[in-house]
Amino acid sequence: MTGTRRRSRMLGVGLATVVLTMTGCAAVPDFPGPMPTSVVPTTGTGTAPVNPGNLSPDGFDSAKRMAVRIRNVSCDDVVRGTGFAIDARTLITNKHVVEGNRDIQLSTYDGRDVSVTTSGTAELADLAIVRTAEDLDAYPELAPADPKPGDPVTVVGYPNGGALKATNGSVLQYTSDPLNENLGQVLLTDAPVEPGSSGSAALDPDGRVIGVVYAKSSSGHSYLVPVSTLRNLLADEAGFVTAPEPVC
Amino acid sequence: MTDRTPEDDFLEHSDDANVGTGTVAHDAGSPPDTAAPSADAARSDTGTWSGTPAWSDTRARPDDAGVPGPETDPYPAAARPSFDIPVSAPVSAHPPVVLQRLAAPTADTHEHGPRDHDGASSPARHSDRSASRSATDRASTEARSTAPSRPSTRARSAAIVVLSMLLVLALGAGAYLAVLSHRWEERSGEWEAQSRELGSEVADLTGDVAGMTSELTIVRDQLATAQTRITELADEKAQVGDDRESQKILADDVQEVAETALDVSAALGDCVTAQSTVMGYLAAPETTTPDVIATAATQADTVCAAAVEDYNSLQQDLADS
Repeated sequence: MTGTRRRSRMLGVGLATVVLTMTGCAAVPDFPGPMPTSVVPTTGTGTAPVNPGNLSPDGFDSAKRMAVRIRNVSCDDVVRGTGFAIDARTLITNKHVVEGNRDIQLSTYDGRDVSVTTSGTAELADLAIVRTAEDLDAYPELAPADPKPGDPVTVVGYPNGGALKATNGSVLQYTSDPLNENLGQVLLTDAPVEPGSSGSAALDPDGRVIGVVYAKSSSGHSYLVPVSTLRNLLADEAGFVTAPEPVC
Repeated sequence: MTDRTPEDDFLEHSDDANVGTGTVAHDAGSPPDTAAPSADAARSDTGTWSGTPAWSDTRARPDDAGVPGPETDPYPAAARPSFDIPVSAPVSAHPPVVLQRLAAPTADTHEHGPRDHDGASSPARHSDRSASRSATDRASTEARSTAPSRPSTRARSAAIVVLSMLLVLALGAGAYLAVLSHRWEERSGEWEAQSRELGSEVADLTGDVAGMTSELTIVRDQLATAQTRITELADEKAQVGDDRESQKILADDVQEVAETALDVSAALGDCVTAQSTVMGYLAAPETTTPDVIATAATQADTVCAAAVEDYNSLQQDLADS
């Protein structure tokens, strides 16, 4: 009886010793591994430019690089307007900008002259297409759908034939064309425009074209041809016809 | 000695404990083998008490227990402890307090019990009992020196082995921990050196970044200025182009006016010529006939009317432009 208790006590003491030893061994760290050759990560999380693709070689953004100044030299006058590229050699502008021209002269945002090969006007909207002999600097993407009232809009053009300028506003509503030059409804925005802004591209926050400026109201609002109309005309081969040369 | 019962062992043990209470109480950690001689040393050769035990418990003092009454006995016989405690077990295995408690009442019962029955104790009986107890002690000492010695030796050997193993293990663990600590110390030094190197690089790069940031700010300002200037130059060029085209149109208009004026001038010259002819005829009427003069006058009127009309048209065009 005493021997059994003694053995049990000894066994308990032994087990406690083993447990304490194992616990102590578990607390002891292993030998250090090999020293890493470098602890500097290959890629860090610095303040690198988020989207450097928007930067052009000269620092101008795409919205300005795609805008083209148009000079329509007619028999007895010079008309100034704006156009924008939709591909490397195609411009979109208003019909009244290129109508009755003897000569169409283009200049880019940085003053570079671009030669024109042909031009055509639409019958059902105040839109025209101009093709160039040289590549343009940049061209935006057409929005897949028309904007909704309240959507922000940015107009990039050459108001009053002056320097390139961008103005901001929002779509107010869809309305009928007060000039009766367009089939269907047009967009009314509060983005400020001036004569010479005709043919300017109206862009959404993503830089996509949502309309083409073609008129200004007495209250300072601007009218846009919706991008859906432009898409329909571009899809139709007979949408733009070549204008006859004027006889001075 | 041969027919020992556990109760005998207990009584013997209790007797020893009682006798050696003073010693055991002061040397409770000593085993019975060592406690017994000290108890014996406190006795005379005749078995009588010659020393003065340091009784710590007055209830167990022999003088007070000379005539113990039943009401003064604090440890009745029924409170005997269990006999499971081995005789050969080391004293250190049992708490000293338990030994003291077990010994006192048992000694009282063992020594003074008969006196309770006899009514008084006599020196003779005490001498006999001392003699018998001495004999019992000797026998107990012999028994202790023979029977428990083997387990004690074996336990000591086992303890030595175990302690040796523990010592070896401790030395091994200490050596391991020393090597481990040395390795980690070396690693810590390497990390510190690398940290200082990286810190130096960070300081250099921070300075570079500050310089580049300042330079970038300047370059951005310059770029903005250049962009503004490019836009202005493009606009100036466009305006010059507009003016050029306008001047072309104006020049064309002026040229057209000049050509018209030239035509008017020619018509007026024709008018003057026609009128001069008529005036020559009128100055020398004998040189011509009246019909010729009338025809010349009519032609001059026609030419001059056309010239005047052209002149008025030119004036109107100039007024309109």
